[in-house]
Order: sequence, then structure tokens, then C-alpha cells
Amino acid sequence: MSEPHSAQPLLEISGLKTGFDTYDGKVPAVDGVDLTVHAGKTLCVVGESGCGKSVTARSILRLVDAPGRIEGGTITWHGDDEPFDVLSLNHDDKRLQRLRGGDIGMIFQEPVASLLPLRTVGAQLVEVIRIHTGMDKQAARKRAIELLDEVGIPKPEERVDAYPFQLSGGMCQRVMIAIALCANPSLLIADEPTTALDVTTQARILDLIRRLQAEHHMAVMFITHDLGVVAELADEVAVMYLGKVVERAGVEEIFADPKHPYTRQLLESVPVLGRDRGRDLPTIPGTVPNPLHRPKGCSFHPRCSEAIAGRCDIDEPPEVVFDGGRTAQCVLYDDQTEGDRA
Amino acid sequence: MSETASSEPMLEINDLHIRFPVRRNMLGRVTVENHAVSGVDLTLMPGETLGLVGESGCGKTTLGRTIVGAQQATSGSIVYDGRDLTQLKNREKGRYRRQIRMVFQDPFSSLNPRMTLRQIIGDPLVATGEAKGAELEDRVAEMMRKVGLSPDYMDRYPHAFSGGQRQRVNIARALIVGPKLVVADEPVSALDVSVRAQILNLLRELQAEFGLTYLFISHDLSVVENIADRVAVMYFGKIVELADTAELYEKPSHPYTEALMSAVPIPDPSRRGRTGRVLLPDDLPDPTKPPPGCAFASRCRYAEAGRCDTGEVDFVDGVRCVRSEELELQGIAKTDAQ
Repeated sequence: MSEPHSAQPLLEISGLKTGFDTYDGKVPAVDGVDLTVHAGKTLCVVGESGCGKSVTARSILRLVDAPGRIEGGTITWHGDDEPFDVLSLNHDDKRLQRLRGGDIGMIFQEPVASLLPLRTVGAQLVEVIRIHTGMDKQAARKRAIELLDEVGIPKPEERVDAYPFQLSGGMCQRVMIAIALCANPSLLIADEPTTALDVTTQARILDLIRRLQAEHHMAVMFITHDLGVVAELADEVAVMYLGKVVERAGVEEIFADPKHPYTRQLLESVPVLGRDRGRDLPTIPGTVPNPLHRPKGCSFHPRCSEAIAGRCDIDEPPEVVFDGGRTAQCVLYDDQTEGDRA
Repeated sequence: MSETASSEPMLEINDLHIRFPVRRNMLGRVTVENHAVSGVDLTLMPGETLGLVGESGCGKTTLGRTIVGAQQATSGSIVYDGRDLTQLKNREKGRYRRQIRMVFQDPFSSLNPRMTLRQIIGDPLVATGEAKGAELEDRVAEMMRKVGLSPDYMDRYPHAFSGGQRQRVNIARALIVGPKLVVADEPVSALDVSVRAQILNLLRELQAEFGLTYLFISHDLSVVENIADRVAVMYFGKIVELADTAELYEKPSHPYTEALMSAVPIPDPSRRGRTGRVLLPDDLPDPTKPPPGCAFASRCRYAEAGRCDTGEVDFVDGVRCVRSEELELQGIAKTDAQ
């Protein structure tokens, strides 16, 4: 993918395929995904449930459990040393362990469920700090308190000894962020970190992520289904549908001029504050298909208002690259069809 | 739909309190209580959609469950059709259960996986003995068509359906006994964004067709703005503001309403970093020890010591705030759909 920004690529995913073997057959959760995260920038991956956005993120850290399997593609890490393919590492490779939580921090959707209920948040922080920095216990505890302070937890010297159940969801997510940050990662992967939180808490967590990103010059890969959050946070956006990236563009481009019909219809159908009072909303017909029964051709064509019979339901759509580097997987912009439409 | 000023209210909630026991002493007497709903007054007019918004834990779901009779009120009254629903004898309850129905948030856990759609949707009719045999089948089929499901699916189980389709089943089950009032508790929150609009439009359609009244409970202010005629904002067990949708969103009167609206991310990158976002601190009061004065005072940027933290704050002209007259709060300007 060509770069809309001058920033260096930090993580390059190319042709990633991750599948799950089930009794009903293989589910291709991620089916040939290309993505690039640039150093210091925010990439928002947006899509509905089952589109493969979380599995993509987990594949980066090789956190896909059986029956899931990474079947192909490359994930190239352009960190400080020589670029290397994460997928070529062995499971017990020291480099992989340094990557997880060291170069790349990750936070998840359910902050309370992601923390161990039987250990204090301090103990969980100290453990991670010691693994990645080799500090002794006292120093690590001091660092833990500093980190809790940095992520905006009031009275960190008391809260360090709190158990997760004693903290609110927003607080637990702050603790998760502190854990993710403890080794100064160059990339933070955030998988729907605010979906389970109230809007007011969400606003503050997003604010925190933005501030930390600026201070630490960290790249962020932010996974969400909320287009509002995308508009608030992203530099670049990748829209996923049924295991594929259907559109990729800068954030202004995607909101001002969505190319893929799915992106366009999604933007229209979501109620927006101040815009849709009392009116019938435009809808996307049908539902997201079961990935086991992926429609032939373009997987969005049964729901698409602009599908061309005889093309969209037969051929895989081409990836069209536009000026400036944005892409869309749709025949509408293919040279061949442009002739037909004009 | 809100030109109902002259008609009788459909439902009147008066000074409703709901408390949950948290701890008891050795004599079994409750020593610590959780005040989920503390003094709610609310009126629903026939045919309207009243939106009820608030953050998790504010008591909005408890209030909804109490209206449908799934939860006991501690004190206060819920008057429907001249009867106080909180005082009903068990044998009287059935009649009201048919008129006031509920649609739940999670379409995955609210349908019995071992029942077919025919059984799920027809169950209320079977339970009341209202229909059986061919008539039952006809009515289930008709209801399925009304909510946009093909009656061919009647003998399938819920697992075969997506979230949006299951929510249609949920709606069909609620409507099959011909209710007048439907309490919809976060009916679209668990759905994929691309199917939310379908369900919202469906609810609107069914409301027009059957003349339904909705109490629409949600934490999502954009969804509530889309569907509600009036909106009640709930905080810490109390209604803090109640107004027509346009007025509430454009000219909020309570600082909490303002903060809530400013926190909603707007899908428009050109408005990023817009001024006026209110970041609320986290310190929620303890629901077992309601603070004196305004419960929101600890997080409110307009709070004044001595005025906001003492004494009960009354609900005056649709708002529960001692400073609402003097404040210039920011709302959401109406923009045109492109």
C-alpha cells in the first residue's frame, strides 16, 4: 500500500489468513488482509461483529487459540532492529515474548475480565514491569504507582493495592492501559476498549489514549465498530467486512467521500446526534452473513444497493488504488466498469 | 405523535422508590440498602415514545422492570388504567402483563434455545389460553410477517438467526398479545450497527400500526434522539431532566445532560477537538449512601458549595438543578442529513 503519510511503516500485514476449524467446516475469519500501521499514527479498524477485526489484532501477537490457525501471509515488524516476520518466529522465541507487551501493548474490550480477580492491580502491574525491564520489586512498585498516576487514577499510592472488583470499569481500563504502557511500546493495539464503558467514561479514555500517544510517540491500532470513535481518533481507517479489508483511506477522505458502498451505507444508516431526529433511517438490507456461507463474489453484494448482476455475484472484486493511495475493493471503480457506467 | 396533551395519561408513576437489600444484621433486618430508584415521577401519554437515558447503574433498567411487574417496588405507585400496578393481587396481574410488555436488550440470552420460534412467539398466547391449534399458528405467522420474518422459519431454533432477526422474534413475542405499552430496554444496543436502523424503523412502523406507547430505555443518545418524542434523563435513581426531544438536545437545562451529550463522539472528523467537551470525573456516589443535595454535585463543573451539596433538590419545570436558571448550557445543533 502506498502511504498517505510520510511516516515510516511500523507494522505491515500482508495477505493474512486466519481460519477456525469447526465441525461445520472451516471459517475463514480473516481472509487475505493487508494493513499498514505507520509509526506514531492511529489506524482505526472498523467493522461489525464477525468481520475479523479482533482476530486480525490477535494474529499480530500470535494470540489465536486452537481451533484457530494462522494459515498464511506475513506480519512484518519494522521496530528498531532489522525488520522480521512475526509469523516466522517459534512460539517460544524470546523475540516473540519481547514483542508481546514489550514492543506492542494490547488492551481489550472487557477490562474487568482481563484482569486477574484474585490479585491486586499493583501486583499485576509489577509483574509485567519486572518481566520487561528487569527492575527489582521496590523499583517496580514505584514505577507502577507512577504509571497509575500517568493514566489518571486518583490516589495511585492507595489504588495500587486495590483488587479489580474494587475499581469501576473505567478505572480497570486505565489499569489495563498502564499495564500495556509499562514497557514503552511503539504500538498499542486497542480492541474495542471503550465499548463496554459509558459514554462519559469513553470520552475520558479516548482523551487519555490521545494524550499518551502524543507523549510517547506511540502508534495505535484501534479496533471499533463505532464510527464516531473513528472520527475522533483515526489518522487512517480500514473498513472490514467478512474477513476482508474493503476500504482503506485517510480519515477525512473516508467520511467526506466514502468509496465502497458498504462504508457509504454504514455512514448513512447510523443515527447521528443532531441529524436524524425522528426520521426513518436509511437501512442496509439483510444481515451480516454467516462466514461459513460467505456469498460468492463480493461478500457484500447481497446487501449492496449498487451490485451489478453477473459481476459482483461471480468475481472477487478487484482492489482499486486511487490517487493518494486510498483503496477500495469494489468493481464500481474498476476501469472496465467505469466505461460501462459513463 | 406528541399532540396528546388533552388526553389522559397512559401510565403515571408517582414517587417510586426501589431499594435492594445489600446487607442484613443478625436479626435479619436490612442495614445497608442500594437505592436503585429513589423518587421517580413520570407520566407516559398514549401513543408517545418516551426515551429514558442514563449511564449504567442509574436505575433505568430497574425502573423498566418494575413497570412490567418483573421487580417489586419498595414504595410509590404506578397507575395504569386507574389501577395501581404495585398493589395488584397475583390473580389480577395476568391482565396487565398482556397490556404492558417488554423487549430485552440481549437477543441471545433472552430467547430459550430449546424452543422453536413458533413456541417462543406463541408462548404468551398458550400461557393465557387465548389461542391454540390452527388459530395459534395463524396468529404466530401473521405476527412474524409484521416484524419482517418469514413464517417459513417457524419451526427453527433461535441459534439459526442473527442478532437482528432474534430481536425481531423478541418484538413479535412482546406484541402478539396486543399490548398497549412496550418497555424496550436497550433494544438495539447489542445489535450490529448495520442492522440497528432496521430495528429502529421497525419499532416506529409497529408503533404507527398498533398505536403503541413506548418507554425506550437506552444509554445511546443518538438512538434516543432518533426515536423519542420526549426524553427523560436519569442519574443516580432520579429523573434530572425531562423535555421534548428537540428542546432537550438543543437547550439542555441540566449540567449532566450537557456533559452526556458532549461526550458522544460525532462521526465527522472535521468537528474533532470541538470545544465544549465536558470530561466528567469518575467519582460516582455510593448507591448505598446517597449524598445530601444533588447527587451529581461531586462531578458537576458548575457545582457551588453550600448550594448544591445541601438539602433536597426539587424537580422544577422539567429539571432538577438549583442553578439551571443561571446557567447557559450547550446543546447539539441540528444539522441536515446529507
